[in-house]
Amino acid sequence: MGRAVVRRHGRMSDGELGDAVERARDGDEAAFAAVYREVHPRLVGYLYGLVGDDADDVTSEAWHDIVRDLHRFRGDGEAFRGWAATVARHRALDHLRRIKVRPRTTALDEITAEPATPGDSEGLALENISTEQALALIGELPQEQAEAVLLRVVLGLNAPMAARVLGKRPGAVRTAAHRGLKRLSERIGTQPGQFGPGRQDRQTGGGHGGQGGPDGRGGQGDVDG
Amino acid sequence: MNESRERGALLAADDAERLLSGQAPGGADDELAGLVRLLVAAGEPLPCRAEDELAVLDAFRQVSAAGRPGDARRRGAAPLLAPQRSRRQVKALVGGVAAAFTLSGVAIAAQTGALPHPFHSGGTPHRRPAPPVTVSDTAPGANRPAGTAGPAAGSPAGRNPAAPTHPAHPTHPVTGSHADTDNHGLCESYTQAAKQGHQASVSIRLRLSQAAGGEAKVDSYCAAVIGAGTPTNGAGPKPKSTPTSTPTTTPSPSGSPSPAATTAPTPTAPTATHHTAAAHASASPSPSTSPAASSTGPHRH
Repeated sequence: MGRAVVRRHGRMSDGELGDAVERARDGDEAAFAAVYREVHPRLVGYLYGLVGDDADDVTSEAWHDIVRDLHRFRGDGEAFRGWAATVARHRALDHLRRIKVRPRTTALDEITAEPATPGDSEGLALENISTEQALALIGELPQEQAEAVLLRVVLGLNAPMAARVLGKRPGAVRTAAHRGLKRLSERIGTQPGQFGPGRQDRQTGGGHGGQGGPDGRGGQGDVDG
Repeated sequence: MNESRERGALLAADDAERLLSGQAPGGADDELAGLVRLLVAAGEPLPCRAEDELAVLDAFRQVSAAGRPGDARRRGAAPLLAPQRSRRQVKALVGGVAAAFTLSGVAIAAQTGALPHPFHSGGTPHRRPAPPVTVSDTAPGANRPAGTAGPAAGSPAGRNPAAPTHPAHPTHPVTGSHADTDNHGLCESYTQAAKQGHQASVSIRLRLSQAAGGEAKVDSYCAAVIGAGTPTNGAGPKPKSTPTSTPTTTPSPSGSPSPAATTAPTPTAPTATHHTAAAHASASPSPSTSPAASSTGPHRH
């Protein structure tokens, strides 16, 4: 059984992925398929944190951009992950602009709806947390923090590459990621009953969340230019 | 747990950085357990839509057909539509049909339990709930060797489907604790990745270092778990996962792939030195090696 697990969990090395990308660039479809299967699930996860249930559609759009521009890409596996994330991010931000408002996920509702057993209710809820719920929780952070966390944890990018995707300085992205974790820790570390306030807090601090669109685009300038 | 203190205040910067790169701080289980669990869950690959893959592969074929190197790749232009139906396209079409059959075949196999369900992750609930198939990760030999470029063979079985999470492996003949059973596959992934000179995913490393009680203990923990899971018997930390391996090769827990590990005789590592332009792209934000910039600009403005 082990192999299947390895395949599912393991991550292609940068070298492997870079090699596959290069072959894909030369028209090798099998290599491209390997690249897709390696990167796509992580891209979907990243975008799920940004656009919720539309992630599949938006990621799909992004792949068409990737296919179109692949011949111009140069770099190894990590660089490809970063590039793919950048392309997907553009698509996601476009999407968010189109729909004008960040989706309200229900992750927190679902989690807090778990029956509360004194003592370990939080543990129970988190024990069964689904990937979608986890991503949605992260996605409810201020966008800057959410993206920093998602790029590191979901896409597995290193800090400098995450910074490049976001078009920001590595230090700023590191700080954002740390703040994001801190905030997550505060919210899940307290009793379930405190999810509510935590969320309100975020909404009243909506300046954060609202900065998503414009601020995100601003950040893009660095990547684009 | 019932105190209303804010634990976030206790999250030190280096703990945060460790978490972000997939290590669970060893002694901080109580403080960070929830956060670790959240990040592990977030790091699981999501199941993906097969039709999306087919569509993208189709687009890839069209682009390839239209933009062969000889035909002068058109910069900026989006050659998504091929001008004429070339032989190549016809071949591609045939390939697509074959792929579709392969897909359905795999789906059937998965339904019948011959393969891990391709669109269902073991334990975690997902958006597209799969039929209640018990994931039967049959014999080690049943799946292709982990090293091969698995998915490239055209079978979607190797794709992401996430997560051998906790309750996923009923067929493990492990006599140890439930947790060890769960972590058996993770350990195999971990050691396998180490042998191939790279790291297991963040999700794996987080879980294992938590289970082992610290990053530094993961090696010995996994050696024990894998040893216990050996079908023949539970004697000693013997590697079960791959024929060519010793699970104790340096797993380079947090840092970059250790050169030592890349010497492992894996079939797919050949390109370890193949990082052409890049390696640097990841390290340096220098504009000269910025594929992201050059590649995304044109169609985005």
